[in-house]
Amino acid sequence: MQTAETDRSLVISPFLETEQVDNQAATIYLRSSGSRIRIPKALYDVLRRFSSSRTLPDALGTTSPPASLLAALEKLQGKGFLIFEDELESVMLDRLVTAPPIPIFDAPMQKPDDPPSDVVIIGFPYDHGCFHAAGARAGTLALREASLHLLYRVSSETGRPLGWYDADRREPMLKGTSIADCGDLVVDHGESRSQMNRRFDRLLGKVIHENTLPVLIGGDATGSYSLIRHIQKTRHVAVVRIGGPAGDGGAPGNDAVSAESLGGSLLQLEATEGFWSIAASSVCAKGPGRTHSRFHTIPPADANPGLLANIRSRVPEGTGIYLGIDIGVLDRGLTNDASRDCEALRFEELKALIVALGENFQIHGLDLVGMNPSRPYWSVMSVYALHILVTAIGAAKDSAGSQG
Amino acid sequence: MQSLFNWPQSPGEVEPGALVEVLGVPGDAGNSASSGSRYGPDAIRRASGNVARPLLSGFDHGDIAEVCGFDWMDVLNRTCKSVEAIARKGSTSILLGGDHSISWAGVKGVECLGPVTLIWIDAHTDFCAWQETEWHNHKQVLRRIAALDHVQEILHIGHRGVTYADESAYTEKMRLFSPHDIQKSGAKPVLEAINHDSAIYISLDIDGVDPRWAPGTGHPVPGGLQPDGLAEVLRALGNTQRVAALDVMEVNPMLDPENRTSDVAASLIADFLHGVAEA
Repeated sequence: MQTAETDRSLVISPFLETEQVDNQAATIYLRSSGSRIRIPKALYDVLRRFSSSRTLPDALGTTSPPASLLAALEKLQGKGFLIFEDELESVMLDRLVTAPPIPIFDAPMQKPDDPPSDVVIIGFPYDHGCFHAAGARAGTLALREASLHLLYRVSSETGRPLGWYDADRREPMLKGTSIADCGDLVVDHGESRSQMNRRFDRLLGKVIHENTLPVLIGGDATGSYSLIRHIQKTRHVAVVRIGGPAGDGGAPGNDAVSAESLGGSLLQLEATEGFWSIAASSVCAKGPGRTHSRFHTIPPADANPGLLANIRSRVPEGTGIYLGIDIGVLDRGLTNDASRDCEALRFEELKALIVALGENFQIHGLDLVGMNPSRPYWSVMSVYALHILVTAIGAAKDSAGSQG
Repeated sequence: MQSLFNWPQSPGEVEPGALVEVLGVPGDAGNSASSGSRYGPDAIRRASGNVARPLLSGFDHGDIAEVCGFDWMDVLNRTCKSVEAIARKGSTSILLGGDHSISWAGVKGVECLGPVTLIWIDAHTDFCAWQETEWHNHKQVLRRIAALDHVQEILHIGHRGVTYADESAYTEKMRLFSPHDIQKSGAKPVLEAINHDSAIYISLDIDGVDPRWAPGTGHPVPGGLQPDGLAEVLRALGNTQRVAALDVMEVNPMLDPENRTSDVAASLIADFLHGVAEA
């Protein structure tokens, strides 16, 4: 440790955990990287002095500690167990994801720097962006557990993914398309939105490559803004949202984006060719005469083929779309809850609309949000969600629009 | 225990010429995905109290004894013997499950009647690989049944959704009818496909019905049969007077907080029996 650094405060990493301690030694590990070491008890006792941030002289009680102790502390710092206090925020962003107990479809996990797959599933377990979404933060893990009904399998001969089969349309789906799960974004509930968004932006930069289809599962639609902005680094998109709340008011920047303000916030970006909302659960338009000119609401009855014609007439040819789906759009049909003041689509209508979108436009990104295991009939809704997810990924990767 | 349609339960109460005999199998050991269908027989019986009693005399044997805690194949073998005994008397069995692996016992039990046409109503083909072991689970049951010599043909109604592969040609014995086929054409294509020389066994996995009406089941699949369309098929099959047995499986009350699924199951059984009575 450089002498000049003795004025900087050090603190033990927030990811440090103690596995075992005895009179001789202690085993410690970092949750962020999995690094695990065994150190002498005496060194462990010194390390614990940095539970709160302190300078070296303050913690060690001397400005001339033994060289061996300094070397040992430097080693711990090199491995990330001990960090400078002013680097704490950066370290907090180092841990990007949590690995789920079960990857979706039991597909491979993709670590941030792994080779890309054709489709990457990214969990966004956050539900504080929409008042009505309480419980949806558990949706990412619950959907993965339900997905064991549809396992991802690879041919033992070719090593290529086998895909699935749509018994309704009598067509194979996603044959040869690799899918990976990169886990759930780390969300420290209570942290600032800006910190969470910075972490998410960093994760997107690591897992999305040129031809990767990113698929966000939620939670609520909060993460969609960051994902769409990431996609818009290389292309313009028309944004289509099926279900969920919609509104055309919003502030620029993603730190204040909610599910309701998503449309308005996106429309402030030059690369958003328009925002189409179908079967919204509620619409917060600025009002007659003030509604944004590129914000369009489509009633469910006109969705197919009206939506397609509407988009084609308003965006430059060759523009692709970003498709967001709030699974709650199917909720009313399942729960027969007449008190829910929302337009709804039936499963068959939603599936047909997704397929039609895929056939007519290239889909550059997807989200499926609103999965909420605490709502009634989650055992049914989870299956609906899985079928819609696979259909949407198939629409993006298999359909005529994907060749464009 | 409440009986199905409040039919008699004691031998002394059986009306002469009872045509229908009910047996419950309250077990779900054969379902790898979820448990809870063991409560199905009770739930269906309770729901039947709200349905108009069919104009047929029936008898409810109650549930097979010694289920939970016992070897599953032992339970199925005892069920098979009970169904066989009912078939030999010339009565129609109504088997209440329980998970769908139980249906093997019912189909095997009517072997004494000769060739059988199996009507399999299900969202899934239940044709997962089975290595000819002495046991099977709910995903393998139809593959095991298809290997029975007396099963001449299988008319599968309700297969749909995202699956692993094209399951339409798993066996030469099987022909698939989608929910769309039934919605469009009713019972006609099914009736026309039946071999007119054989007895009929109907197996109803309640997940064949769309989850909007039957959410309380372990593995629902969207896009299913509508209850009124399925009722038409069951009534028409009852009309043929050739149905040896009907089983109703995979009703899971733990996933059915409003009892919608058991209500639908009870109604469909009643529709079938109305068809028998009308003929």
